[in-house]
Amino acid sequence: MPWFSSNDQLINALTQGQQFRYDWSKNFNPTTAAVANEFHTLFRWAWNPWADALFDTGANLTFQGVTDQTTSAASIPHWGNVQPTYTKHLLNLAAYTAAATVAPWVAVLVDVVGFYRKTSVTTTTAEATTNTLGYGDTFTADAGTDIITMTSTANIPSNILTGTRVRLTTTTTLPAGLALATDYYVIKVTDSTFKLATSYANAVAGTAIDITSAGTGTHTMSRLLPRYTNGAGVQAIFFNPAATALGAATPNLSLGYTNSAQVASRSTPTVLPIGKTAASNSLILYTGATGTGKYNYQMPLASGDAGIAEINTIQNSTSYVSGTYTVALVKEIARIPITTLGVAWERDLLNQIPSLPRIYDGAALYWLWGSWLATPANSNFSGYLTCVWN
Amino acid sequence: MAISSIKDIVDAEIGGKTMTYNFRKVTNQVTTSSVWFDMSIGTWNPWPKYWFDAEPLKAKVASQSQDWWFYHWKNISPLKKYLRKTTNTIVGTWVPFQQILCDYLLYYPSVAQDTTDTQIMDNTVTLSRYTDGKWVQILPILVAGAAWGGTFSVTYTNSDWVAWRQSATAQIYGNTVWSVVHSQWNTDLSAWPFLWLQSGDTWVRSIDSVTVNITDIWLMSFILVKPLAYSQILDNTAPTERDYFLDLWTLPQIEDDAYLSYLVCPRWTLNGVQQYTEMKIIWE
Repeated sequence: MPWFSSNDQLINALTQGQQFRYDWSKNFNPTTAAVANEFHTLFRWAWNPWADALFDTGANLTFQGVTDQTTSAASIPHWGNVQPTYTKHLLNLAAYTAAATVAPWVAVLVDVVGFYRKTSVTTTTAEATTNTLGYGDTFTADAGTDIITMTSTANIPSNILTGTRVRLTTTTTLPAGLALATDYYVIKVTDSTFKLATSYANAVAGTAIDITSAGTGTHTMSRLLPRYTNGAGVQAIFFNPAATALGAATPNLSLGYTNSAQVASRSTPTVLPIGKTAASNSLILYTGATGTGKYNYQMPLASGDAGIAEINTIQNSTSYVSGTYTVALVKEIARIPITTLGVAWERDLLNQIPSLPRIYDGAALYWLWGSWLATPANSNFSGYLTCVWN
Repeated sequence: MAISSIKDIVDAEIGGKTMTYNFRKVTNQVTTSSVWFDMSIGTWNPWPKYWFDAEPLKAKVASQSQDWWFYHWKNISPLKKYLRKTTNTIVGTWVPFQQILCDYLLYYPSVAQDTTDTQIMDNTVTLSRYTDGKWVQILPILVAGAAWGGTFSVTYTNSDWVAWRQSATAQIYGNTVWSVVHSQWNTDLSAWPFLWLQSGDTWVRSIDSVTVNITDIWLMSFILVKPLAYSQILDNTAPTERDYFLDLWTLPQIEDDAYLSYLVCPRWTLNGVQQYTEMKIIWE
């Protein structure tokens, strides 16, 4: 039975072997130290998991979803897929370093849902992105209940949440009441059954479309994001994914996006993040130093917004001269502040911070690193995370 | 009878239903850093296990009684045996040193890496432990040299007895290092030590066939394993101790005749690593 509703269930799951611990070890940028207050990604660096070869690839401004099995993703393993029979949760995690002068720092565990690579860094206008709804699974429709039942699981439809924007295709004729090239919004019934609504508001209200026939042929329902599919809690980061530094410039960085309530044309605020000049490999561009335009690792969103469902435009206000940067969509899972060298800092997400964050099937887990002091090049960090499922 | 309360644990300890064994393994495998490796091949105590010591492609049970490895007392059914505590340390500068203790259940020896012909496995022999295959994973290992560049995939029977399920494609590790785990060269580069299963599958009952898509040289073997416990040695100046009850609220059960061994992933090469393990078992 999915989820945990008691300590006994947790102990039983652990005893049954429904757990996995992964011990990781990553090095920081081998050539460039971090300045105090900078956040970096650890995606590209050596050891275990290995360096990614993903985030500096792909067509300009085109969304690419990421899962733990994406070629060259190099994410932290968390066992395999367990849905829909089980749900997986993060039980505890730890981080440690003995590298001199590194502490204090903060480590942030994120699930990278997808990214847009921007090679046109010399373009200063807001550029439109390409968002192809690439995560599709087949379904059948029941005219009596208006329920659609997924018949394939290749793209993990059990990850779909209420309010997710989807589109439908078919080999012959869609069920009556549904149309091609039309946005629908999902009402989740179970992990394998859904209803559809004409708007986000109707989806949240549970007002479903009346389906009056099963249609003919094979039908497919497709969405953009592989996980956190309605965008709730999803944030954006701009970072340098390449071996070479960006050019000498300090542009304002901004996004146009659709929020998790599926409202389009949202934009990041007036006091815009400012990218660092000659930003090094793995730097989150608007972090570090002091002054205006410097933020924590997340791009600030418009007032009231709780997440990003898709990014529609990306802009740097002045030319970055050379290099590439990547805008990733991430969901924070947990974070650990570390204050002392040589001491492993642990987070018990059952007793210490009761939360047991959900780890969805296909989650691509990575660390972000916040340096409260300058972090020397090639500093080593190690730790573990333990997942449990029920 | 099984352990179902703290009192049961205390009674077992007081009643002498406990044993502790010490082991020492040494390898001279020159691996690259952050590579998963099967320590069965290591020398010293217990002696090495070579996964090509049986008829090719024919499933064979791995067991304590036949193959030795970490001794965990005799068969005691209907009583149940549990892993109470482990203490690990290594000599050398190879930390961090990640370890997964597994029960090695069934293996398919000597699968050729130099042919694209689908190699059908003989499953006359089936799982003798965890017969439902629950949480059993596929571990492909190199048992002779390879040149690099080869890829392979596996078909298997899943938990619902559906045969010919298709695994992800993995790369063959190009080296002469025996017992390196191939599946970590999944194209996702995550260093996940087991072969990725088909979407929707969570465990395996048997391997049906192996197909090498791009040929290499020599041989590999496939082992069905059940992960039991995890640990990491962070410092070589102090042992890493894990009390599975007090630290983790769980006592991994050790099945009768289990063949226990470690998968390890050191930060540096394994060459010259001396791995010391103390294992405490209780039963009730």
